[in-house]
Amino acid sequence: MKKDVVDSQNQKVRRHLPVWIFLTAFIILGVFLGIMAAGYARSVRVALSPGEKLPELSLTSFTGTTYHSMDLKNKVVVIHFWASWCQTCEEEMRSFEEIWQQYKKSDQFMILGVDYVDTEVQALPYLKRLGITYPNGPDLQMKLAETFRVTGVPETFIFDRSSHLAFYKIGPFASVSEIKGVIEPLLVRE
Amino acid sequence: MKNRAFLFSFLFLLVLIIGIQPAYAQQPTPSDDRVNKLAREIYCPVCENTPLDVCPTKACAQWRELIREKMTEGWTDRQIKDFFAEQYGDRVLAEPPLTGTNWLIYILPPSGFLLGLWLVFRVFFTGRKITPEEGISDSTVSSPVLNASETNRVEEELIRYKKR
Amino acid sequence: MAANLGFGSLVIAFLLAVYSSVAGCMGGLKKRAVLVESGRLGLVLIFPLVSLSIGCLIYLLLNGRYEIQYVYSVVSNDLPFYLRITALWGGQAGSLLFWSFLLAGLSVLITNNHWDRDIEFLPWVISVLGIVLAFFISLSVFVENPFVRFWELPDGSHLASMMMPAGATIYQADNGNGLNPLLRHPGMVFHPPLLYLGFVSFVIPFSFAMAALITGRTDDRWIRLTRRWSLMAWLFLSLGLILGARWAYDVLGWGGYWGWDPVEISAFMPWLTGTAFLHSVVSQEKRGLFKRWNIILIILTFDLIILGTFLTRSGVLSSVHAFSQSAIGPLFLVFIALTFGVSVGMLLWRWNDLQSENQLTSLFSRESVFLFNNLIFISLFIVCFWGVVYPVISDVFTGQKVTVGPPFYERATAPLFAAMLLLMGIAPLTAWGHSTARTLGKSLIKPLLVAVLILIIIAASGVQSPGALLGFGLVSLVVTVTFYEYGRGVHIRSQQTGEPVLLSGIKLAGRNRRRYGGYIIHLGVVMMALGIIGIELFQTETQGTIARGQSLKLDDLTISFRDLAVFDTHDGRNIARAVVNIKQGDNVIGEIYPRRDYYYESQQPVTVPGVISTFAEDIYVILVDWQSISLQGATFKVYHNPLVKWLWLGGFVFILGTLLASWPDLTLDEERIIRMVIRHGPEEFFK
Repeated sequence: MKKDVVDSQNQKVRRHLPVWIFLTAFIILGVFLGIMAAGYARSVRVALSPGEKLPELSLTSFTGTTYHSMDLKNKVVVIHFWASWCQTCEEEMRSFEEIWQQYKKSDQFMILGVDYVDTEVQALPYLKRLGITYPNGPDLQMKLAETFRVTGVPETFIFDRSSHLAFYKIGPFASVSEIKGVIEPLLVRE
Repeated sequence: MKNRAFLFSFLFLLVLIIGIQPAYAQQPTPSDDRVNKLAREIYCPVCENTPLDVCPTKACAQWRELIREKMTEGWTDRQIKDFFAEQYGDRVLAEPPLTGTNWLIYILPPSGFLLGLWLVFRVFFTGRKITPEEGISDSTVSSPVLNASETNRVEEELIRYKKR
Repeated sequence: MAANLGFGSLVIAFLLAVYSSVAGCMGGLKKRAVLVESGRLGLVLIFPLVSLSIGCLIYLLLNGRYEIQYVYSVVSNDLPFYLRITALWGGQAGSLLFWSFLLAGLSVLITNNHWDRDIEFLPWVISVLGIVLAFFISLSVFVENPFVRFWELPDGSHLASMMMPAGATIYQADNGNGLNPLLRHPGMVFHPPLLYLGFVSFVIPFSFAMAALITGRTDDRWIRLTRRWSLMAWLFLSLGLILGARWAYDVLGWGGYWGWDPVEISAFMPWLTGTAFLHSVVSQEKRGLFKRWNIILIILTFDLIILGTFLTRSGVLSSVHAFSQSAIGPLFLVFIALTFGVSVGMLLWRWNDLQSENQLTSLFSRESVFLFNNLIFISLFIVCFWGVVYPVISDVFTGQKVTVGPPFYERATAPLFAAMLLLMGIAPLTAWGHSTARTLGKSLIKPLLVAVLILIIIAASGVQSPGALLGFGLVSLVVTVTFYEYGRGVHIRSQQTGEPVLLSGIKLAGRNRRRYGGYIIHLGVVMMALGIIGIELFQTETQGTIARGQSLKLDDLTISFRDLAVFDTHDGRNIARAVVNIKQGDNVIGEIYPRRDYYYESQQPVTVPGVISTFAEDIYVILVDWQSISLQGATFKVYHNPLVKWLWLGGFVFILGTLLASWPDLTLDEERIIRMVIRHGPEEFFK
């Protein structure tokens, strides 16, 4: 039995995996951890925060008109996310329609409705039923929802005339006057 | 004669239907089962990680309705899936499509396995490069499985050891 | 009062944990037994303190003290008694505290062990446990404090805070949010605690591994000392996973038990590496092999457990709806990075001391089968890890959100599971050390023939799918090999000792509990495999809307809709309950009552399936929808899940096997002698 011990000590044959293999594996795992951290950092970002610039966007409405962010310069812009399956959106959309009727003549005001995770077959009758006339369009590939970091519907973002985010709200506006309270000062302010 | 007229009109209708089919194949309303079968492979963004066929939200019910409508219009499953991916992004598919960097997801696990296999065989392969006497000593070390009488003896020894 | 008491004791517990880790470390470095002992006492004291804190929280939960934010968020007036206790782990803050509580309890058990000649491990075990405890308690103290109260400020607004803001009074709501209805299931009573217990118990082998690295005692002592802990950890983790699957089957209403959801997977990953570890350490004990690998596996398992606790709690995996926005994520990531970095650093430091004592000589030896077993478990781990991480990578680097769903995992893991069954079939017949293909083949031939015979019978009975045939074939191979090997052992023993066969059987299993416990575990796994093959390959389903008196057909089943009633209950639910009659062929086999419970408080519906379960199949009916009373039409979804009951039965067998394998048998000294005998041969020893 002694012989065996001696043998294994004298043995010079490399029969183990080199350290670098493990090192690489550990480094890869470490990198993954870093990516996790980055992913985590992204996931905890809440909606666009006040003061941020209106992101590049284009929305093609159900009627076929395309709205680009550059067309929205020098305007107070309301961008709100809704869906036909969202019950709390209905009342709010009626309010937005009322606002639209009051302000649409002004070339300094715009409302864009973004239809979030919805189907056109459901959305169109929904808009018709509520009598909505301001432009609405589907969020293709959910690009806008991601840009605005939307977490659900309804969610509303209001930009001032210099295209900076002035106000955002998660959940529905309670009344027309609440919306007015936000946009009127913005329209007055240069 | 009556029969033949019937047959002719029937054949005519058949040709008509077949001829029209590629353009407007109005199919009978697809069953829930057909819809569910496709819905199982689609993920609605409002219910995370729950396949569409079992998601209880209203949004998902609407999506299932849409699938049914598209099926009625004669769309194939492939077309419907592509439509959803185009509308709502790739995340609605149960698996990432093979575009961009997505091939990584399919490549890495098998290559990880192959790398592991290579490492395992490497351990054997380098293990084989041993001196002859080493080989002999190793075979003597290789554990003798104790047979029952030996096990009994070990136990007796243990009892004696304990008493000490 | 109770809140202050609970919080105060948590703060003291945190300070003690910090003290213990420092004292253990200093005592170990300076070889001062007094310091070590004070560290140990500190660690032991943490348990009563955390218990006190948990007791306070339970008291608050039971009494519905809604001024406490946590109580408000998980409890409501109509919640029954036992659910108020389980609400302890129904939310994030409570479950983190519960985690600390379990670990503190285990720390008491482990540090009160007989240490004898292993006393050099003690300071470092104390130190590691202290660090982990300090981390988890600090989360409760600083970030996710379960004792935070609501305050009403002078201006009428409300605020959640531990300390009283100036001029504020306590604000207590009349009723709380209530527990998520999905969590109101008996499965939820046991699933999280068991899972956590499994998670927490793996900290102990990890702490010993670290102690072994620091002290330089790199033999298999740390493994032997913690063998039973590892087995118990593994048992609890397995139980937690099985109960989770059962809960999903009963409550989530998708006719399945496992959805490859990232949260499920993050609990599954430490199980995979832990299983690899349990197998791999045997090679180190018997042959002194894979020392480094075992350390790597336990480090990996430990950090996966922390990662799992983090992933299931942080919301990083869900892209749109984050569960929580708390600052807990960065802390977890930093802790994981630190523990991972430090432990890997120590491994590299001791790299050269961790040489294998032997080498692999034969591809057909037991240790080589263990090596392949590890390859498979690690590959499964890679599949899971990659599937969970890839969506994050894709999002971070390309901004593209993708879903990695069941098809990916099923395709990637199915061949690996098949290979695992094959290994299970071969392993019992292999020998340690030298073993040739020939000897293996010789012993394999008989059970193989029996397995093939069984397979032919199965094929003749009408099973055609190649996947199923492969699965059933492998299952029968494992079963025959296991019984064959056991039978052979019993036969030899009864011939040599002259005992009756039955006695021999019991004595043989009792003598080598770990081995035969392992066999029983394998049989449990095989039974589970049977259930999985049944549901994965033979599940059929149908859905249809029918009026009262009409029926749906699925395979040879007739599902008739008899009646539907909608009513309110006292505990705030609106229940729609259908009466459904099931006929198989012409025989009525039962009446079931699929339900939909709507919880008014949380505005959340819960689908409760009606199930008829036999050894052959489950008939699982869900009430999907129903029309207004006058129409009396309802939509049902019917799943026909063959063999699924074996999944749960397998779970029981699995537990039995683990208990047998971890049952204390010999003292460590006795074990050492036996090992000497095995190492050097009986002749040498008896000389």
